[in-house]
Amino acid sequence: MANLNIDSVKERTFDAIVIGSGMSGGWAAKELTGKGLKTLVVERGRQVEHNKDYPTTNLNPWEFPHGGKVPLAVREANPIASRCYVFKEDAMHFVVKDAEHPYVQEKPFDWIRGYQVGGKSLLWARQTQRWSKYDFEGPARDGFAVDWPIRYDDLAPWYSYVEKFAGISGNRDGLPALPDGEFMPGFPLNAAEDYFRKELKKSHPDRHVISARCAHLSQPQPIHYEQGRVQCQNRVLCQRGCPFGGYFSSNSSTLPWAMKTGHLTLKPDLVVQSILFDEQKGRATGIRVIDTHTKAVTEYYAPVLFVNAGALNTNLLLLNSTSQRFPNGLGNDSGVLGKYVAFHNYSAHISAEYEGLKEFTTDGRNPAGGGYLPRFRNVFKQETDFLRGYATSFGASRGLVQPEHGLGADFKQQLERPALGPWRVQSGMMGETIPKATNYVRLDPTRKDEWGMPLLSISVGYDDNDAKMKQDFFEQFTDMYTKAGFVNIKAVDTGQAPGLDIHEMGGVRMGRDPKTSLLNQWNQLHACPNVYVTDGAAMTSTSTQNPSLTYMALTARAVDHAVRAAKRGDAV
Amino acid sequence: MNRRLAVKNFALLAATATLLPSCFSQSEDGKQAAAPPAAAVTADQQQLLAEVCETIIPKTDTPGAKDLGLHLYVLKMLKDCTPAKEQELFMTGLKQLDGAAQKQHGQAFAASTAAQRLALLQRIDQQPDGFSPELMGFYRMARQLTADGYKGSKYFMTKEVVYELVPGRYNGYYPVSKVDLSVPHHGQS
Repeated sequence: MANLNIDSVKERTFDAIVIGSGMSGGWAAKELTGKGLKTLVVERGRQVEHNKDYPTTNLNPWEFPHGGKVPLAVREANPIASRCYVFKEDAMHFVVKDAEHPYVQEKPFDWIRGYQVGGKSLLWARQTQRWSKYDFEGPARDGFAVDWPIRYDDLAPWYSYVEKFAGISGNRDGLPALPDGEFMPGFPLNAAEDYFRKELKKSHPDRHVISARCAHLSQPQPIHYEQGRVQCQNRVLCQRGCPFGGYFSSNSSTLPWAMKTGHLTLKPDLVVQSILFDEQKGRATGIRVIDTHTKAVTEYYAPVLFVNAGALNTNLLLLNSTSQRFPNGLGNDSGVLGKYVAFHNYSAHISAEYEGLKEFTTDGRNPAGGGYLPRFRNVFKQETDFLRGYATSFGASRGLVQPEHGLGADFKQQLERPALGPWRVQSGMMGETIPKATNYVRLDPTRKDEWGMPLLSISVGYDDNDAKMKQDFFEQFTDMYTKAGFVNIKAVDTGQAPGLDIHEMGGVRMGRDPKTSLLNQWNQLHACPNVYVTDGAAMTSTSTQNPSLTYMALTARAVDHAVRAAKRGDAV
Repeated sequence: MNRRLAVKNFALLAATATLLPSCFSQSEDGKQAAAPPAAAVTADQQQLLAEVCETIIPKTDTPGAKDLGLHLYVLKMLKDCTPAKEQELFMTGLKQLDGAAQKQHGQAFAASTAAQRLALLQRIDQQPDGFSPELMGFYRMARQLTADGYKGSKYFMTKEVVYELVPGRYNGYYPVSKVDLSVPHHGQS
């Protein structure tokens, strides 16, 4: 670096650096640039520009080389990625291939990643529920992990703030376990979903089927048109990237918004090797990056850094950012960095049929996916032999019947004029898991990737609490289904590994005490406060709600804090 | 995260006996692009398969398997998306077809009348006991893939059960009475 002149350093110096351009990094970029900070966003993957880089978005099913199916050779080369539901011919170019970015599984863990500008925000299932006070109070009440340093009320205004911009559809259901937000109209339940809602009111008055809340523009507001986004057109081909901007992604929303301010510099194809720590100043000063193509190493500098690399990659980066002051990873005085990783247990679902309501079917497609049952177990007090509980997706549809036998003209006629099958319902468990020191990630001591980064070694598994909870899910839904008159009930334990839920969280948890946590109530590293971590790594516990909306709110709140602190001249 | 797809897959599963892939690729006129056939397939076998597919999805007042080149779809699916073991089963069964036709009607499948071909495949379909597992396996796969090919064809998805890229609507209480099966489009997504 000795030959670099002062101008070069100046060119590589920004007011803020954001590591990662996905769900939370996009928000950090938008908020920082919106407050006038000259911001650098680095992304390890390639550029994906809204619309321009959605190659499959307008293809009809018959226009795909394999009609949407992944060829066997690709499946066999990518057993991990192939287990992900979006790894189909229309979107597999947005999912990391197994061989390109290896990792170590001390226990089975399907690590699904999207290395590109926008990250997994392009691919997500768009379910957006606020966490409730019962989620933030959970660890303290039930005695696991550590107490969250924030409560629902700290985050509520920030939920409102991000909801208005991202655009969330949902109904004001008035449920304590699932606070209402700033909603556009929800997508309605269909006949069978609504029937189950009513039946449940009778059989289990404390359990509710509501319209799934999702980041789709059901009734766009001026702020959405200003982003160039229009009403969701019910394509439900979201994973390809949406030409209407009908759902929220970094690509369609926060990143172009940040770009418009003139304060954003977006650099794709750069892996951050480490965060630079100045021993004299006692603070982070920038990042060292590796060009993924040329392998050239460069440094960029800024007084404040946001780490939004995606939960486990954020852990990897901090663990790899060592210095004299932090020999075990940046901010890791406590030794808990990489530990207390948790996830959502998605390994159970239960299906059935309903013979009634045959006078109705559906027309068009529902981007929300159907209904949602907020957690009903252990919400207000402990009442089962397991901790916490599960939220549940609930969807119903009528398929077209294809006869199992027959051929010739009659068979052909049956395909052309198919009969509607009965209503089929399916519920998927989304269970809270308990963060534990024994569920951890660490750097592999010897193996490195193509760019010289240590491989991440993942040791995350289920426990007895998860098993008991799953059993309860099966029992409760069998009971609820039976009382609703559903038949042919089939409970399925998928046996899938953790990770496939794509809700991995923790490792850099927030907490009140620097001895047992990494981040304070503003998402600053206790020991290096000009570094903020606002992605999934920050989560102290997992709740049962989908986490993305909470990452967005935490990020906007943290940026607000960083900018205020800078104005006050605080030592961030 | 995978709720919608799970529900959708579930519906598909429910509607079909086996969930076989629906690989597909077509040229502009709606015909199958000439896919390179599986390495071991001779021109005669390809021709034989085309007759089998046509027997399963015959030309009526709508296009048949030959019009749409569905046997090429079947071969492409075999080659690209089917495990080797099942490919072998398929090919072994295909080779046994003429023998079965000889036994039944005294001549090879291709030389048989359309009615004889239909009768033979109907026997395999309805009374599988008299046939080898390979011939059965061949028939079941050919039937499923031909049906998938038909349902996934541009013709079918634009003229029969119409696929909508941009529905722009959702109605969860759509009266079945409004679903008119006498016209091509019934709005089911």
